[in-house]
Amino acid sequence: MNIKSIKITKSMKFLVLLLLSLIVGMANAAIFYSLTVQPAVAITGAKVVFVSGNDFPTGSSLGSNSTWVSLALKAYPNVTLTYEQPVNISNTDTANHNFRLRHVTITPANGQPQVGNYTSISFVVQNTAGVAQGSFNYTTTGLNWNTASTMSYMTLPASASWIIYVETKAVAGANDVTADIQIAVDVV
Amino acid sequence: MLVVGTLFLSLNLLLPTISASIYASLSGQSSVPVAPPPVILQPGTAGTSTIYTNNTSAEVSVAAPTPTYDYVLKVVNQMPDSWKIRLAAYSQSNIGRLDNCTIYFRNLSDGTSGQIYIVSGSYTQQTGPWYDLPPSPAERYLAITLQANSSEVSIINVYLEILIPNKTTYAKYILTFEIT
Repeated sequence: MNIKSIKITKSMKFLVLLLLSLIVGMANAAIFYSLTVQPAVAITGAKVVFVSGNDFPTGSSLGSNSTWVSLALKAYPNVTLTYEQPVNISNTDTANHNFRLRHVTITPANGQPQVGNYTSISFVVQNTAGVAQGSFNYTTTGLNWNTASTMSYMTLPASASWIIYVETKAVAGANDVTADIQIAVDVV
Repeated sequence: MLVVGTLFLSLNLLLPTISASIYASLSGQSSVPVAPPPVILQPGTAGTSTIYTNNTSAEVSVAAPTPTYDYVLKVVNQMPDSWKIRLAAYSQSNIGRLDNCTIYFRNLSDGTSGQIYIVSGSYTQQTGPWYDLPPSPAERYLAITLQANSSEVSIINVYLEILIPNKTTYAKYILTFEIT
């Protein structure tokens, strides 16, 4: 069959032109290029972790990766209660790491009458020899908390384990109330 | 060359600055309920004792001409747990007049535990040895022997320390001894 023998009508010519214009339109793109990012996300154990201490209180728990700890402490009215070694912070790495304690939340909230039951809740970071490296204190004024200030970074040497010492005190006549404190331990 | 340099500088200015350090946060949560005291103080049968709110602090008054006050305070365990107790003197005034002063624990049957000794106006023992306080119902008695060389007032401020056995968790109660 001779292709020249095919009759091309005006409407067919118009259809061809229309298709060509569509193709040209689709090929009109912006200047574009792609960078490639290929992150390798390996799951590794944390190098700085919590380790339960000799005074790890009954009812406390340590998260499965040791990156979370819940301490069930107590306070007695008109008594200073000391936990010399409830939990430790351990550096399992061969390099030093810096860390600090940072306040996140505390309840009951300021203004609540239960706040006035507490005198102080103090956390002291001690090195392996038991020498204080910094303190993180919650006290009360009336019905308000004076929350602990963010600590300066401290250097935890490689393979060292430091102590978090805790002291609690409630006022005389304090009654059944619970304070819940959330603290972040930032590690660099 | 100048054009290339300018272009390089411009590209650097256009690139975002990325500043990061390796950073992680561990999370600690502390729950601190106010609980009833596990051990309480009760008045003794000798001298004058004042027990303060919650029975966790006390003041004891004794007079030197009487050589022995047995007992000035009672330490009562309210829990089904064992504890260890001891006294630790942390401040004082005018104890130079005390020729002899001994503050000690005793129980009903098997002897005493000397805690604080003052001889010729000075401490010879300021912190006592740990003494067992068995589970409730259990009591220990606090007694004093004393001898003074003048009629003045001496004050001895003492912590009653209550320790969980095999731990380093302890409570401190404040006791004040006024010796006239």
